[in-house]
Amino acid sequence: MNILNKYLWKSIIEKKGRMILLLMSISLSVALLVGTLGAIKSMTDSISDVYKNSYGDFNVGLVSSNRENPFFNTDNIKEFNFTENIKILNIGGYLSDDNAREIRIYGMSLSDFKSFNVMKLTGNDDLIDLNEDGIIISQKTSDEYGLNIGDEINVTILGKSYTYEIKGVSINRGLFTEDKKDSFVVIANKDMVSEIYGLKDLYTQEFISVDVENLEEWVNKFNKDNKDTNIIGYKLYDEEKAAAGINMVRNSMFIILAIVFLCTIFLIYNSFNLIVLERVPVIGTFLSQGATRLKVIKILLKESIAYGLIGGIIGNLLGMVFIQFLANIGNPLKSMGVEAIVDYETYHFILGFAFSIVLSVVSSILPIIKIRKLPIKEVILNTMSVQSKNSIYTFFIGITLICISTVLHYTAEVSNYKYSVIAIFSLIIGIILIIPKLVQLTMEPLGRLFRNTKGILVVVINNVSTSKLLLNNTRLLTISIIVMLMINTIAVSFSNGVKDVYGKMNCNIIVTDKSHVPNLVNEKILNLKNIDKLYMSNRLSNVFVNGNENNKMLIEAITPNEWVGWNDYIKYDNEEETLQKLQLNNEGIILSKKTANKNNLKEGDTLSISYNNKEVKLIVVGLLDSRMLGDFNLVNIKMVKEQLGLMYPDSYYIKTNDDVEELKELLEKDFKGIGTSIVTKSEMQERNNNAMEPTINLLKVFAYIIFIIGGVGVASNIIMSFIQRKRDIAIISVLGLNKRQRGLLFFLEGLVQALLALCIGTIAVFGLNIILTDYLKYIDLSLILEYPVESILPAFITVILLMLITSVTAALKSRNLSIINEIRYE
Amino acid sequence: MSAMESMKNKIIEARGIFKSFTIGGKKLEVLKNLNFSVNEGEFVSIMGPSGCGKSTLLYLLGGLDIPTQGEVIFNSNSYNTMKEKDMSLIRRRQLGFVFQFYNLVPNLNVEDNILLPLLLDDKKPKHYEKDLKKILDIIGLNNWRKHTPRELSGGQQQRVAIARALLFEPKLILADEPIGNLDSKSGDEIMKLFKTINKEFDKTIIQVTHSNESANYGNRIIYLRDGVIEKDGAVKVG
Repeated sequence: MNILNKYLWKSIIEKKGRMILLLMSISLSVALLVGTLGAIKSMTDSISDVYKNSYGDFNVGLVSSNRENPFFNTDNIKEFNFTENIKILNIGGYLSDDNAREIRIYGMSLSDFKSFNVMKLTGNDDLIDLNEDGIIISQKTSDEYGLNIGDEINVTILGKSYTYEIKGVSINRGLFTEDKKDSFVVIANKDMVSEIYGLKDLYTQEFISVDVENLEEWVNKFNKDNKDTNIIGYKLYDEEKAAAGINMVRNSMFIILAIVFLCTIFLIYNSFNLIVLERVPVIGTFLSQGATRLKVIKILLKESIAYGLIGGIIGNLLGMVFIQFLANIGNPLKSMGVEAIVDYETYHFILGFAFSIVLSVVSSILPIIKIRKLPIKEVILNTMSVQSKNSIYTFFIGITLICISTVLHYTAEVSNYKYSVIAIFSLIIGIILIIPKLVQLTMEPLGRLFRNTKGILVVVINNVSTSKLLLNNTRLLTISIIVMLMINTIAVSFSNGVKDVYGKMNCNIIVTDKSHVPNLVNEKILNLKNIDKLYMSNRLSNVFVNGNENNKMLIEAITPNEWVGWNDYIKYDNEEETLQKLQLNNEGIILSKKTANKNNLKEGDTLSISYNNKEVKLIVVGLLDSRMLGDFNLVNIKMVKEQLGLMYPDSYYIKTNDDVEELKELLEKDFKGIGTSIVTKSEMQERNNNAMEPTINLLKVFAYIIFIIGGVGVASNIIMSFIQRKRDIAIISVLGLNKRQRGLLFFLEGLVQALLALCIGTIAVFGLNIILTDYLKYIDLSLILEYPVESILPAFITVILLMLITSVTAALKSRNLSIINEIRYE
Repeated sequence: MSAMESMKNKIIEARGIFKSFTIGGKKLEVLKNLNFSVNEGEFVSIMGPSGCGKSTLLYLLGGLDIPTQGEVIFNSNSYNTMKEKDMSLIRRRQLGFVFQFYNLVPNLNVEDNILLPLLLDDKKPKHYEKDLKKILDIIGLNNWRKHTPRELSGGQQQRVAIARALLFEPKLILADEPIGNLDSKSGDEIMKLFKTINKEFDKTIIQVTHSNESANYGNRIIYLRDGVIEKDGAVKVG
């Protein structure tokens, strides 16, 4: 090792506290980056894996386009190429001796079952004779119900009881992934199901495997070619939809990740400022011995790279743990019992390693290149006086950034919110920059106030408002508090938002009908007694806008004048008036603002929609804000009946003042086994909360990590600030500051910094919430951010505790302070 | 020592002072059995070659360090029996320190640096407005009271340090190479200021110095060599 490298290594390990702080913040940032990338991949993989486990090699599904007639004849399909296919005829039923257990029966031929390669029989897979009474169940069902090969079950289908013998048990894949808590899947003989229906050569589903580059295009062409049949094709797995599902999580994670990086950059920048300051005498020695400034810069850059290298290694190791951890808590399929799939991608680690070096170098470059400007003679003679720059320039830059952020907010609608991310960071950096001046301005009158009451407070106030180290502590604490409160804002608002979507719905029970007998369901619901209010709608997905197959929207077909008051969560300019316009115009549509913006449409504009190969021209009669309901557009149910041929609603929202559970039981009894789901409003809310849980947990984990980085940063800064200020403290001790007062000084400094950070942080979050709302609009999430008032007290206690612990540590450290060593100059 | 001076009270006394340090496992005797006293109103200069223990002696007299053996009696009280809190109180109220590198608190302005011992003593600065003005007049920095140390010259900073030492009207001022970092003109001015403080305000001063010119401003010189007093006598006038 040459002398300079030895010097470099010794410099790194000389100040252990700083080394740990730098390595910890770099490693945590790298670990979070690697963890986030890995976790996002894991989420996507988990969703895609569910698809693969469900459908194997099949990628397109065929169904009837007519819900009232779900059967189709595969001979009618226009010629097309596929490599494999299986045909299914399904029907619903329930266990005769336990009517709470629904059964979904998929009728298929034994050869089709065998070619559905993801489903495999456990044990002897040579089986089997899937005769008319034979069925196959999943291992999960076998375990749960204690059913084995040879056992019989009685199933009630369309009111009649049938007995089936279990002929095989399959692994929990393929169609068996649909097994749920209260229902399970059985594979049965197709002819048996045909017999129950009294039909021949008709099916309800077909899965095909198509080997093409652009599946979307293929499906669209297929649907066009089969326009005259009642068959419609769809992609079994939609990557875009899956990606959109985790979009919000991914975007939130990256935003928070950027804030973590900001904290780290700030810490590294500060540390290198100190490093350069401390090294002035050594730099002087180097320069006096003939080193160029560039050489000195290179030595310091090497130090920065070394931190990056070590941080990268530790960060990647930590990243492996983070991937596992984040993937598990962010697993979108956790509620379905699907475990997160974690794969370690080499390029994530390479990226993390490169990022670590770049992060370290970029953050330290400014303090390092400052060396260029140091007066060489004074550096060599070590007579350089270090003056802290006037904070007024930084203050003005900060104010400018805050102004930029404000302007971006007020022009956000024009720019379609696309600069909202810049606005967020502009505001955060602006706040960080104005803190020193802000603290100075706040502390000045307080200093005057306490001048003649408590002397030590004057020293405290002066130190907090003028010491660069302490000001940086206040900055770090403020960032930590801002992030903590912001993440809590998002978590609380999401949670409340989800609750509101259903909470404000004017019903107790939601019936979703996917049965093949919508007329019967409709009739029964219409004849229900003791109903206070009934809202009905028909939900149409995969509606193409203006003939563009890549532009889809969701439509809710309603009876407008009966829809008033359905859900107060949705905001109209004037609900009754808007719905009345739709009532009067069968070819009208009320668009959600999101859909209107996406298609550049306004009231009075026309658009065409196509559904099941049928096209309708509509006029926009009004707009609504669907908020978290997203793509939610209303059309008149009359139009849907007349022009799209959909005769019956598929969603019923029932309001009753009687016993809700009783009504639910009644409906379940009536609709058992036919594919109709009955859910109470509170169950629906719970389901949504569960679905939100992974996202909220992820956000919380990030909040804690930021607080750890911020907290450790502050703690080590306080201890470092003690080391840096040893001489000043020694001087004050010479003048009569005793040990008790010294401890009090540290504690009061910490307390004042904590209070300042809390005040600035809690106020800043108000502004940040406004800008964050713009960002949420940018990602198409109309969420009202609620200030997390209840989080202020825990944040306050945490920050005070942190400052108490660190100031006590500093006070204990100061017990060994040698006044003479600090003030002597020989 | 004049008859007049001998009539005055002893303000500080060193009795059998030893001080040793352990450096690299070896014990180094810095001060060996020092015995002397200083009376009120004296201006004593401690001189000697580098490493003879001058500053160490001054720190022991100021209670910033404790002797390995022996004791320092200040105002009839031994430092050895004092608690840390009482020692701080003495430093705050009865001793004034002036250092070569001024040792001002860089982020406090001139006024607050001077008032610092007062603030630490929970005294109300408003009650000391007159004293402050008087001291600032003496050191000639009334127009600089709101400036921070870094905006002052070395001489000005040393004046602030002297003013700070004077605020509590201390019985004894301890100065460690007070002009060691100043040019000759500023150094002369500072020494004249010390002389004035000693003569007109009757303050006892003990300074450590390398400079004969500086020592000649006082009225007694103690020469140290290898940790022992080599010579202790009055300054020869002229």
